[in-house]
Amino acid sequence: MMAFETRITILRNKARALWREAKSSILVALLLALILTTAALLSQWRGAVVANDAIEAMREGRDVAVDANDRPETILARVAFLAARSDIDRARALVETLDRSGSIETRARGHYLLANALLRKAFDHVERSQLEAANPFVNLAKREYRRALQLAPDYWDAKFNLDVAARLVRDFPDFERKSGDELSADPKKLWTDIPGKPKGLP
Amino acid sequence: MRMACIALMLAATLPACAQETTVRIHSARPFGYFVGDLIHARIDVSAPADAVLSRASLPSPGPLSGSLDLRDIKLSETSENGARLWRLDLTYQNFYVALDARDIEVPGFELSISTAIGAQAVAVPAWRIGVSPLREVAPQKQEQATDYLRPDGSSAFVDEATLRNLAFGAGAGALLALALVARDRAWPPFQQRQARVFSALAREISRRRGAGDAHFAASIQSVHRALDRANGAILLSGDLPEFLRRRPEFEPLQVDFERFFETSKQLFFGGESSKDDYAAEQLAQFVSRLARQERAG
Repeated sequence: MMAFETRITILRNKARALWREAKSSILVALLLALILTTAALLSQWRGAVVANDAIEAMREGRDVAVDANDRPETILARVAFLAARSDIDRARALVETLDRSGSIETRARGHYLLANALLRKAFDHVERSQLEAANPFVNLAKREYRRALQLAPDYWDAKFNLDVAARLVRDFPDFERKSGDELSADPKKLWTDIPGKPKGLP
Repeated sequence: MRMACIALMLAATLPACAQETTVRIHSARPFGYFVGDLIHARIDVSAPADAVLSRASLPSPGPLSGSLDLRDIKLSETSENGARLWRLDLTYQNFYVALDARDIEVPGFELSISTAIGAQAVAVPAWRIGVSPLREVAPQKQEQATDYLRPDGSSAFVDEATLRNLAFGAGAGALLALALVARDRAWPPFQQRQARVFSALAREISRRRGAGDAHFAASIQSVHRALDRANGAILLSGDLPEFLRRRPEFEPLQVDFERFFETSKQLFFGGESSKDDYAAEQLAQFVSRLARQERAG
């Protein structure tokens, strides 16, 4: 028992001596690490301020160029900007960029914004009685809403708008299918139609 | 998923191997699913103890039909009362847009297990869940078609307050660390610190050498003054053992101390005025070693 306690004391003294030896170096290392951390955080903060300025500008309706290396929030703000102006092709390219880098929520919102733009375009055609032209836009919008919901199952706005789109052009699945494994969602097995210009029933 | 609420249950007993292989489907809630909702189901398959389930026969995640996805499947295997029990936790996602509350079918699938009597297919039957509409069949008439849609919403900003606070916190930490280092090394404003006499001296000597006015005798004298301060009284070579006993951290430098006193004696009393670079270098090394031992003390 005594030997054990002696050993503990020796160990403690050794640790103390080691600490005294290393204290100066540890302090310097700590200082350097903290300086580097501060520099990294300051540059990140600076980046966030720049990103927020860009987002603010786009919310106010001024276009700001973004590239794939920008923050997902900035890219998303530009998707919103383009979607609100029905620039679907460029919005889709940015949503694909988001799919590679963004968080789940950001990606879901990107698909939702794109789907809204597509559906607005479809409404535009329907109001001008171009039903044939509206059809593909509705189906593309439904696909994007579905993508958004696959990413974020609790995205209620996406659920609601998918409901609107689906009532515009109904899917009629083939009810013959029985076995689960061999089922496929081949779009050719679905038939779709437009019931006509909605009379308050989109 | 609560096992208690077994609202939907199908027990399929295969007649081929009586009461041996059973399939039970438990669903936490078989009704009230909106479009996009997740549907959790648990399927318990029990089989004879020697049965082996073929993993390849499990359904794979992906779209099952135009309005139903299988998102996730988890298999756990246990033994219970001499029977093998496989528990499948399945997560489906409903994309059926209902106009009224109705039941839709979740397709069944077949599992293949192999037992002593050969391979066998276990059918998990199709089952039904109730889906519900999200909106009225005839919503109120709106001015514009786009008014039927939920709006885009406004873009979210990047969280910059957290980053700013973290950066300031790290900066404050760095300043504190700088103060600790300065105190440890007797940098200004800590150069008068009693416990860091030699650190201050080492800095002063290296500054003097850098400036080129290396007056060897003056350097020796300033080392003597620093030793006196560390000792609390004038330190002569005869007092060295007593000093080292009181400040054991300088013990390893005993040889250097003796050499220093020797050099000092020759310089001031031996009439020898050799102030070569070698001696100056040695003195600087002695002082920096003193400073290091002092910091470790």
